[in-house]
Amino acid sequence: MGKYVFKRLGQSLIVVFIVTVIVFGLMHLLPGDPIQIYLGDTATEEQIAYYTKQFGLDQPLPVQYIRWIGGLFKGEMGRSITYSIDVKELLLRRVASTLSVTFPAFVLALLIGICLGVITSTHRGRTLDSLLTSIANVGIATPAFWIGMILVYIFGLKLKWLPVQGYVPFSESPSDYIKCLVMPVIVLTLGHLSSNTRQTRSSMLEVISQDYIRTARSKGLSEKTVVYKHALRNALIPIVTMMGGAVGALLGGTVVIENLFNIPGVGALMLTAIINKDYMVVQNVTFVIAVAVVICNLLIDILYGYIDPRIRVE
Amino acid sequence: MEHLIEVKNLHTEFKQSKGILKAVNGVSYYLDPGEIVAFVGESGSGKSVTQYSGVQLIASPPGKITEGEIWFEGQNLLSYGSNSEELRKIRGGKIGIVFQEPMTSLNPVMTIGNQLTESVMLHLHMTKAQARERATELLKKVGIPDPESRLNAYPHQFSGGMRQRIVIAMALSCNPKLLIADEATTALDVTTQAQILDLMQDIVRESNTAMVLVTHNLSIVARYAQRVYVMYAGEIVEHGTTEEIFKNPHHPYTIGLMNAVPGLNDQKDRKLIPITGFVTNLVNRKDECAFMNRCPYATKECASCTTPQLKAVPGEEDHFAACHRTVTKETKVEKVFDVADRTYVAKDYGKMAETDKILKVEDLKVYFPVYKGLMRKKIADVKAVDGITFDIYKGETFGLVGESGCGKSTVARTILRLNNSTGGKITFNGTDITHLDDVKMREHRRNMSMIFQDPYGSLDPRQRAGDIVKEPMKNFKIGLSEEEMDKRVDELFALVGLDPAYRERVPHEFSGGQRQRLVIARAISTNPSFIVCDEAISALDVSIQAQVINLLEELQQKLGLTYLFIAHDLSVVRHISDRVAVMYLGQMVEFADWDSLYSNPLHPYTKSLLEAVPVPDPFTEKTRERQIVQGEVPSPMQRPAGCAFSTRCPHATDRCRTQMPVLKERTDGHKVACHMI
Amino acid sequence: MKKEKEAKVLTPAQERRKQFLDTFFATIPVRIGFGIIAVMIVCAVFAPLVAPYDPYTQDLTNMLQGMSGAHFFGTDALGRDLLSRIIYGARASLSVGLVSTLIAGSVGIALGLMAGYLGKWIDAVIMRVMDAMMSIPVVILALFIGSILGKGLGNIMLCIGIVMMPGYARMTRGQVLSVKQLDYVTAGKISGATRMKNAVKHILPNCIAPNLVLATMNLGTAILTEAGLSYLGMGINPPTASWGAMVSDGYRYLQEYPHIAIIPGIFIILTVWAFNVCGDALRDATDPRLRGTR
Repeated sequence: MGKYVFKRLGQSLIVVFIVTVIVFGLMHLLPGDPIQIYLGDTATEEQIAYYTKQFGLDQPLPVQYIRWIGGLFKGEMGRSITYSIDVKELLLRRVASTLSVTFPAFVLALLIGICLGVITSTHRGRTLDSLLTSIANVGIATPAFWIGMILVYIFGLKLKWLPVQGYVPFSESPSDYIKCLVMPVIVLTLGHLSSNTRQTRSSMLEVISQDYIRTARSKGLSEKTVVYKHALRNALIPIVTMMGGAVGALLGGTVVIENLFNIPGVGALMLTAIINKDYMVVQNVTFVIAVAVVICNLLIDILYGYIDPRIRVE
Repeated sequence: MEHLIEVKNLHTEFKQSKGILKAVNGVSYYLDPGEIVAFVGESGSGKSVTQYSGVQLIASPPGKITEGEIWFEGQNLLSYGSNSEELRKIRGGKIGIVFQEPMTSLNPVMTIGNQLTESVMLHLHMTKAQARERATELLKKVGIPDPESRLNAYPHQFSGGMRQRIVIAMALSCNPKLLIADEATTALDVTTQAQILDLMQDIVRESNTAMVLVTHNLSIVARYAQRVYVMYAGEIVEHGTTEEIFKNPHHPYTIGLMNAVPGLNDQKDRKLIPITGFVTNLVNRKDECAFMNRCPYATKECASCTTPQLKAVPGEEDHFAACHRTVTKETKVEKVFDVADRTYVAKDYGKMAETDKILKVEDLKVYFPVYKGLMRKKIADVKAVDGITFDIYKGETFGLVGESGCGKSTVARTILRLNNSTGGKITFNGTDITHLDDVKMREHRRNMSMIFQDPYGSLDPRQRAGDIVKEPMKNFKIGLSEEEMDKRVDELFALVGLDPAYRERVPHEFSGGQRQRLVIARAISTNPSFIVCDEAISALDVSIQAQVINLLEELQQKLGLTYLFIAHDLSVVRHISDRVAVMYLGQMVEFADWDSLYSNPLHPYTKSLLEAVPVPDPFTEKTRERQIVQGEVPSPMQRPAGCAFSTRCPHATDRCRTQMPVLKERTDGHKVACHMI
Repeated sequence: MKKEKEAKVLTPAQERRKQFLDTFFATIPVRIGFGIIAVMIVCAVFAPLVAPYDPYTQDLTNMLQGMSGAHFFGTDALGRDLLSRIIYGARASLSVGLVSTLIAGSVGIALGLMAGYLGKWIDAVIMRVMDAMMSIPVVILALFIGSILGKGLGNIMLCIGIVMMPGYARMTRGQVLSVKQLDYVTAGKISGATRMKNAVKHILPNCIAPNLVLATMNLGTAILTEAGLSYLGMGINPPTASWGAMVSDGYRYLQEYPHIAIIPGIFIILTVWAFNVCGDALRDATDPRLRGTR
């Protein structure tokens, strides 16, 4: 087990390294001069030159890259050009709202998705199965911004139950905090819920046709024991492997959700930074998100080892 | 006396897109307490579905039991639902089942302790601690060493044979009245198979449990069963005591099966008579004799009659056959499918010259490195093949036998240069091919070919039959025009007994036997002189096996082919081979012509292999004394220091355990590697 | 009995095709989905003939109209006919889906084949780069690449194509690794096929089926991604009609004129759903284990 974790850790480090190269490389292929955009059309040559030097953008690319990596090791992420504050500071301010949306969505989508997947697979071919599967199929095809808009229209504009947009920190007003988050969380949950349901269903169906389920049935166990004790744990194995991808997709999804509900989170930050060519922000936020995904994948692989004893020994 | 279980007129159907498949069609049978009864038939005969229907373990939908009664301890099991409390009490509690595939029939993510205790706690109402005690006891009974600590192990930590023992322990855990063994030993090696079957026999005898032995293997039936039900196309076609069935079979299918299977006690020139044709499609089955299309005894009357019913054989008690005619082994056949007699001429190896050798293998070694750690440091070698020497003469069939993991397939793959060798020399047709590169090797590939075990995996599913056979001719550029190649494909199809009209089909549209013919056609298309048959017939049904064996022999005579015939089935190897080598853990332990090897085996391993194989004759089996070798083949990683067999050999001495014996010639051409001879 | 004999005898190839189509069209949703795709394609190809109005002509006297006989879905804030814009939007959606899937599929399959067949360091390099690409969320990577390449149809196609590529590479590699061990590949070698020939003739064709299924599903995903990017204002340049941008434009008038934003969204759902359902059916029809069971 220790060796397995070690090996995966090594692979993850390599992946993180490649991520930095990709991010840095792409970043500097971007057209447009961020200083120019920052200072506006009226800026003079001198001003531009001054700020370019200030942000270290006059150095050769390898030097800039090494400076960036060196900074990361020291926990420094440089300064945002548009916001004129440290990127680390900026990120820390924004991360709470993003996690407030993504974490509940992740948990809800996983739990409800697995439940629905088990229900549909045990009712295979019957009305309940066809109904839920059809809903899941439509759910996957529905763009998050559209379903969000529908919710805004119904609950925000017509019924006026929930605020149309905005975000209130928990420390200011817990009730407003929850009210503001209901719709974003639902929207982010729905898409992932659908794919988790589908995944669990097909995984359960695959497992139920296995020989060892027949063995379990031959022992006279009740259908409940067969499904929950024997089948589900095996069916979870492929679902667990998908969870890493889900974390990435959720974090990516926040770009749209935060834009739609006007939440000042990491996704919204990313979008404005890309529009403003804010090098340091884009570079570091992308890096942080990628590292988060890599860490989740690593944790999931370790979890995987616990669910599947066959991995543990190797 | 009341029967333990009595099944009356059972019908099971599967709904398919093209209609209804009648998998079990009016089957009636019974078992008495303590009896061992065999259900014999080939794949698709419905023998397993019949048993699963009995305990309602069939997938539903698409499966459905449409009719019948199953009486067990005074209750009709079919009156209960498949998940009802009443039925679940019987399933697992009173009826235990051992399945075919030990590798997949245990839950991979649960410890075997938990898997064993859950049914004990459910049916015998034991506490967790009591159940664990019982589980330990059961594991000990089925021969799992160190049972207490093994309770916490997961299935993947056991070998196939050990897993099957665990499944048996599970099936027996609640003291069932009936044990169903569904092809329980088919996937196992011969020595393990014998161990497991003996174990089951001992246990059921001791506890007066009845046992259903579902198998395709007539030899197993002959040795273990008291009564036999022969099944064909979802129906019981013959039923009687084992002695009566073997002595005096009355159904053409039973007779056909017996004629198709080779045995260890056969005459060498015995011709196997295959059952030609295919099982009738059971979808929308018609009301007529299902065996008619393959039956050599069928007459015009058969075609006009409905499905024959079981009727008593005159003069014999408790012997029934479902045939419109009264046929015996002596009855003259109406249709003759295959006439050529088989003659066996022993080759005179003394007269063979060096130039007659097509293949020379000298001290061949194949090691696979084992890496460990982050730096992938090589820590050891798995010695898959460890110093093997043999020659193969032109025109002979060289048999290579051994249990799985003994390295016989690695030998074949290395000779064909699909693997690289670690040491030694391979000479083919006078050329040293040991270290030829891919390009140079291709010149020689034209003359060597291979027939694989799995007729499904060895054909590209996206290629058409004609193109498959044509591929080697194209690749080797044998100088034929496109039309000539097409003509040759037709000839080859005819030669292996396929209709040339099938050349446009893709592999999955052929049956297993036809596929293997296609593989053979491809193998001989460039007129090679040497063919490796790696378990070429072991995936096929017994009646089809006979067809392929006959075809291989016929082609050998017509085309002067040389075969390296690798198999684990000792009877088949005996039937087809001129000389036979026995392998154990990467080494050759004995080597001789077929006659000396089978009539006078010298190495203890060869002896134990031969003892483990039953013969298809209940009268011989009744009196046969045998000693089954204990234990399992050790992993090649933990090979014993001395003789590889020393850990299991009943005659092993200290010398055997420390010093490796060399292969030495004892009598004329008979070589053996053992200190004790 | 008689009828069976009279039935037209099909050649094996025809029978295979018939069986494939039978399994593919087995369920009603697939037939509906296939119909939707067919209609969408016709609309996209013949948009100028099908659309009642020019999608770019602004008519400020007819702003924000509701559904009517003259304007079936009404008009938007600039008085442009919504139905016409949706029909032209199908062009953008379908072409983005198709081209980006082609880009992702061809490059991804080639990389996966190389990684799986050649192995060793080539495998390690390709797969780690793919891992790195996959660890950056699709939307963020797409925004990233999108802002480098600039807006516009072609760039969006390329951008989504690059983002979807690792999926194909991974799937193909896995498929190659399992097919590589099968006996028929060994048989190819024994039959004298060179390494290259074996890869192209026996391995590649047997890796195509799951990739086709993935591609069908990805058509939907690509359309969704394009809609998302256009919604964020990072997709196709206005005034070119794009369903995602139409939803975004309509959002401002949600209170009074919800249909402007809702209708284009329904078209996105229908199209993506249709591709997903067809992808599922394709998987069932190409899976030999399911053959003949339905």
